[in-house]
Amino acid sequence: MCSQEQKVFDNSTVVKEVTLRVFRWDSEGHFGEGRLVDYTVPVVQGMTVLDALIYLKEHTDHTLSWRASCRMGVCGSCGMFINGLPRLGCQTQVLVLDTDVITVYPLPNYPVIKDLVPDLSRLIEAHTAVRPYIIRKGTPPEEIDGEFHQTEDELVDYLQFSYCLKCGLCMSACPTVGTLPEFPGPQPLGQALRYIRDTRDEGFEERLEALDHEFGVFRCHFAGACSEACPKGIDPAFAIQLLKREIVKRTVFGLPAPEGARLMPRALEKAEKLSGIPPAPARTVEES
Amino acid sequence: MRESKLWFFHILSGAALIILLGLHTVIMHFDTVLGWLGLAQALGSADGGPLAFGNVLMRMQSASHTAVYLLLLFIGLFHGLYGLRSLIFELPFPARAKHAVACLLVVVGLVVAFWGSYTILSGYFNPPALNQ
Repeated sequence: MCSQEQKVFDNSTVVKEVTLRVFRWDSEGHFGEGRLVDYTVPVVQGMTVLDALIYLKEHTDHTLSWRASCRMGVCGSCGMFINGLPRLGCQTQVLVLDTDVITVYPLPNYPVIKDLVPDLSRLIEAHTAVRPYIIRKGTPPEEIDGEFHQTEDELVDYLQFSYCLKCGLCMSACPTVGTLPEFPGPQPLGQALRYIRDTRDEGFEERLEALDHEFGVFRCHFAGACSEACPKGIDPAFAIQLLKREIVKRTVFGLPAPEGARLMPRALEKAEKLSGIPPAPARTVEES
Repeated sequence: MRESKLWFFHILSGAALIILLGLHTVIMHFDTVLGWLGLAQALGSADGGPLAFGNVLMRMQSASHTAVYLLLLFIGLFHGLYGLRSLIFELPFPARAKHAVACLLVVVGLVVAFWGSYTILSGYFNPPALNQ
């Protein structure tokens, strides 16, 4: 039996009421050019802005629209412009904002589909253009029989950048994305570095086309707003500077790429022999 | 030319400009200090200051000064015009218009480079006489 008094997290008592000032717009013109609508929300401890929006949809106005999925900062769907900053609705607690009026707009730098739902096509297109996957020059990855050896240092080189949620907050914070439509933006550029730095990857030249052009990576002003906005603590502004350095090293000075990861053929088989682990079951999917 | 090369030269030219503009500032505006250091004669800013006709003539006929002026002209032009191009690229024009302006800047750069080089080199090879 526990003798210490346990602190109970009270998420049923209403602490106070706040005004949620939400931007409304739809293509049918119900809100004209778009306007702010005030709603009152009773706040309980731990309530996030996303929770408040869900409350509104359930109790006050079912026509309100936003995009969300996991509600716990993993999917990156609920990006919104909350009290003047791009944030995830599910990670922003109402009481932490410490204000009685919370203004919620859709993410800047994107067209709006409805209310708080941004059209993320630009992010997806730019992300796709930098080929965010491991490119191998020889045998395709799916046909390689073995594992790549990668040291801890080599992993740390890109690990931070692999935490990207693709939420698009960095793109909405970036002043260059706002002024230069052809600029890829911090998210795709950070992902380009993530794969270029991966020692298993050999696709530097293939990615250059999307990076090293007049509207590409070198148009970044290093404002650093993307790093401030990132909900996962990634530093895309730093990634972009590293990417500039990497491109200059290889294209201006002609330096070769660092030595790639070594393939350890049939490593699993060797391990099985050493440890007596039974072999893995046969493939369940037919090879094409 | 790849953007990475242009951008790298832009950075490099910025560093070079610090040195070249530093030299220019010292020679043209710090002649008293140069006098204290005993360098005013060698750098062409003694006896009447850097704008005295004889000193201007002496600098025009000096190979090292001519080389520095040419470097300052080319590097300053490149740095300034590349910076201007970067600014123009962020203006709300269509990409085609931006490219047209970028081409225009290249032409302007070439004309100014030729004009400036002509002025500097004519001063070196064909200086005006002191008694004119």
